[in-house]
Amino acid sequence: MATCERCGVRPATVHKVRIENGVRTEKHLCESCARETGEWPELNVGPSWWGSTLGDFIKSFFDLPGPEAPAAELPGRARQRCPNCGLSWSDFKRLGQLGCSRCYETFERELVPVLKRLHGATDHTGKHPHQRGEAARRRTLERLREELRQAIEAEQYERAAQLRDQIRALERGAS
Amino acid sequence: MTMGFEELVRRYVRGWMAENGPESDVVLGSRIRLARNLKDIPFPGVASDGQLKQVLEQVRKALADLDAAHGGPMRFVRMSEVPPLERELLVERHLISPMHAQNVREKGFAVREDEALSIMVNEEDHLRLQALAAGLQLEEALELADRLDDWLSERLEYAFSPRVGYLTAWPTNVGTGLRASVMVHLPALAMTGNLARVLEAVSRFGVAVRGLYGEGTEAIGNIVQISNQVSLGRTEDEILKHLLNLVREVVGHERSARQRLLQQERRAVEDRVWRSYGVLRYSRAISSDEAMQRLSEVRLGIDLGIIQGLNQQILKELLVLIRPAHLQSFMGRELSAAERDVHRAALIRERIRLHEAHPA
Repeated sequence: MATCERCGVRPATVHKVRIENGVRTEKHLCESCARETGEWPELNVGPSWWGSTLGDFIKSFFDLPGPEAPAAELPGRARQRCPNCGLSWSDFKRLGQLGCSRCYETFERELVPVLKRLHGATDHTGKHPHQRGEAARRRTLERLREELRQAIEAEQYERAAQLRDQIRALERGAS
Repeated sequence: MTMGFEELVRRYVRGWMAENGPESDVVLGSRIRLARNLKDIPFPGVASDGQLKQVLEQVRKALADLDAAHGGPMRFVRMSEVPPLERELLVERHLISPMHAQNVREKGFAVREDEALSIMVNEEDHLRLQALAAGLQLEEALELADRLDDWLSERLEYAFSPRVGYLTAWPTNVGTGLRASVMVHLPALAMTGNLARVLEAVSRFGVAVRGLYGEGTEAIGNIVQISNQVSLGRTEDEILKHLLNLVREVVGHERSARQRLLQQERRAVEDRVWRSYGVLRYSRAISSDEAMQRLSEVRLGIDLGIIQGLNQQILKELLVLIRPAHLQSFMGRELSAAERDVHRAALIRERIRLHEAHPA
């Protein structure tokens, strides 16, 4: 492990990459120098919804042996950079974070096993932007279907017929 | 105290802290967070100041005429314009992350008056939308965040891929960008020595469990946060449903532990609850950790009907009000740790006296 570039003594555990006007700078600091230079978030602030970040988790993920660990990385690919932000795959492995939305295309092949491991899936099935109100519509539908089920169970057929009509109308609205 | 407690509550206790939601005997609050980014602009960890400034400006414009149907109006500020003590207040009020209060260059924050809806701009992602609600109200909180998201998606060009979903700085958030969390109070499980076992069990089902001070730490005040881990490959509703099922499981265990305590250990529980009450009622200096532990036991005493005339909100209110930045804000000056312990004890005594005078 490299040593901290500020104190030159302790191991560097905090890595920052910044790309400004096409010029790329890197910082490799130990935890205490990172704190002193304000590059480290103060976490001991008490009751909070925010936990520590998942960075360490992701980093440890790459050290894991096993068939799914992205050892499948091809020679030379590690140095390929995202054309939009300049991040390389080996930067990602150090930082745990991607550089921009385009990185997801650039490193698609390398990311597949990462996503599989993290989420057990690689494909999005949730909300899309520009589908205004779509999520709300889906939830309403689900609620109505549940009410319909209960109405039938309770043999309230008039209510069930009303609910069925409402559901049909909503489903048509989807197209 | 420069102002009376009632005035403090009026000014500082809002939304989820003041209200009672479903299952509020165990569930203190629900939180939804949606991570969103703008297309092609590097994520905040890598972007230049100029690029981040551009994000801030776009978000500010998009929020300017936000209507009530989509969660408006929201007040927008640059973090660099917020004085350091107030940034800490925002952290203690669960409105921003500790990280967002530091290195504030080109960071922004937007919030609705009742604090139920807020946005961090240029934290780890360009946008992190947050909705908070009292008790177990994940669906309601999602609805709120979702409508704000709809509004923003028409005014900003989101980074979205039809295949992988919303693109985020950490691949752990990609897909829905959704992190749903529930804050639960589990004093009886802690008292009966079953807390670790129950949390161990639920954490095997793809949720993250942590104490209030972050991962791997003890549950201060017996308060634990449970969140989804998977954000990709499931719909928002599926994620909530899975989390809700596990939370209901935990709530059930806590409730039966409370009944067991009442039936089998009544005298011991009463003794502990009243001792904690005594400490809060009479102590002249108290640390934050001790206060949280005592408040947790007093709240259990209220929930079990052992203590009457004290309102159950005491835990949620004081959870926030006894934090260092809040105490310093009330006193209008910086306080040493020892001074904070003194003012914290005074604040708690006043809260208890107030409610003895006007029982809820």
